[in-house]
Amino acid sequence: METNQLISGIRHRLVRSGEPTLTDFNKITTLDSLRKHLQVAIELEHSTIPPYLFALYSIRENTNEVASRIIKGVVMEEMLHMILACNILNAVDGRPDISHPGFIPEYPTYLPHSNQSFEVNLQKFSKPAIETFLKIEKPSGKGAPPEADRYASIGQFYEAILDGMERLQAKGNIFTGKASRQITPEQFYGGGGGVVVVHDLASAHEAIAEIVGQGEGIDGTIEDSDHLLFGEEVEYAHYFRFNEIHEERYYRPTDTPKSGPTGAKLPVAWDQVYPVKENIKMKDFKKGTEEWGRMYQFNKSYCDMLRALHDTVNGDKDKLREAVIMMYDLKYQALGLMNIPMGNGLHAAPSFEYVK
Amino acid sequence: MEKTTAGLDNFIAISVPLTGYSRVALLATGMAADYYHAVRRIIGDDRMNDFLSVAADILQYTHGKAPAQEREIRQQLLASLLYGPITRNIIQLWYWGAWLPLPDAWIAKYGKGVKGNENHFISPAAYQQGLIWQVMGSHPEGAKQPGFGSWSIAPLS
Repeated sequence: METNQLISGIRHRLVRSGEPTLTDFNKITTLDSLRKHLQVAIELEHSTIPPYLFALYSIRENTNEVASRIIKGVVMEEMLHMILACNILNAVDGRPDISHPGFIPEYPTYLPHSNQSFEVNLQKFSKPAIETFLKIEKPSGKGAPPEADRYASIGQFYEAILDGMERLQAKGNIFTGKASRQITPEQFYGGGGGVVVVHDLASAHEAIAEIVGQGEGIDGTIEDSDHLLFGEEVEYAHYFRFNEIHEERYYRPTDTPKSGPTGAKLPVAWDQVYPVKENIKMKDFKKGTEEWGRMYQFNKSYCDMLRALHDTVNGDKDKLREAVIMMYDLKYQALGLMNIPMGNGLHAAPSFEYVK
Repeated sequence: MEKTTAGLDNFIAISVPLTGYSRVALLATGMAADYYHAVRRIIGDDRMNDFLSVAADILQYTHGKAPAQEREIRQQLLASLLYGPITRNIIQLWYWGAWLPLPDAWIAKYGKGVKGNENHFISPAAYQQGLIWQVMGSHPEGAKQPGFGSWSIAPLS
């Protein structure tokens, strides 16, 4: 699919200062390039979280219980993936940066360094939203080559990272990061799957298998990798869990990607959703009004939370607790916004914009 | 489109001075319509319409003049034998999310047609959305969890 010229500018805003240009970015042959890719991996994992949260919170309370649980499960695993990517970057003695002004994409956006075939919006729970989520989590297909840039799937991107790590490790040990900078399983409670402490190629493999396996599933099946890695109950990968919502039908254990879900009906009430404004921004409100103030406060809290997480993955691990407390608070702030009518038939919503 | 009726708008408008919270803050609880319909259901359409029309008059005549508005609310609503208990119940509704029984004396005199006057939470959401928790800088027990260990650090806001 060709890029729309009007919106291709958005991609350029995603290219942050100090970030490598696209042409330098094609192959991972240096440690510096590997670290830059891992930073992109962190941003990539994060970039899916606001759209998932936006859709999740737009669902009216006590409705769409199954769909809510599915989205919530996925978003918690995305948070885990972000932490796993931080662990890998810390393992190769990099410095995760999750508090810089460009860290949150400006929605609508393409996934960082994707082939720009689709845009991701902040939109309410709806069929089009789930269709975008399916594209985000789309399996790469068997035999897809690894691509370090303009990758067509998240799996391909991680393949390229693994490929680069193996190449570099063959020349000399790259896992020289301090062990004390790793986030450990005891610190990470309530999340989906398990935190992998990364200290060598094998554990890096394991962390990436966890990320890609949860998202896309294992080759040719609809299951994710957790039951292989962690002995958990079989759970379906993100793509297939979203597809259950889309098709309003559960998968059965014998179903395959090709068969689609053939199990019981999964009830979805597409109309039980707050009529929130898509890709809302603070500037949709007059500065100084209470509505603007609440939009700002949400963004301030979100950025404060990212700053606390930044400290957490840069050696100050006690900050994680503070960040988690902020996450709970963010949910209640978001729900409050979604109750506020804008006067045009639409409601306010969190805009996920960077503020100091 | 949200369903707005003049009655609901009036209810929210008088709730602002009664609770001390802004219109936006009250809307953010998501409970305005539920409380409005609950009061209407319990005290009946006629009583509710009368109450809202007195409230609307006060707001109109004292528009933007806080001391006058406060005085009129005290005199015409809170001090009124008829409207006082209703007004206090509306305040309590916003703070607790619960309806408190109107006093026996009030019921004896004005209670004809009143239904469902027993103590009850309007809904599970109402319990969680009570303003009391915000005032205390706390959270409703068993809901809106603030996260493990949050009790060990000072409130964030």
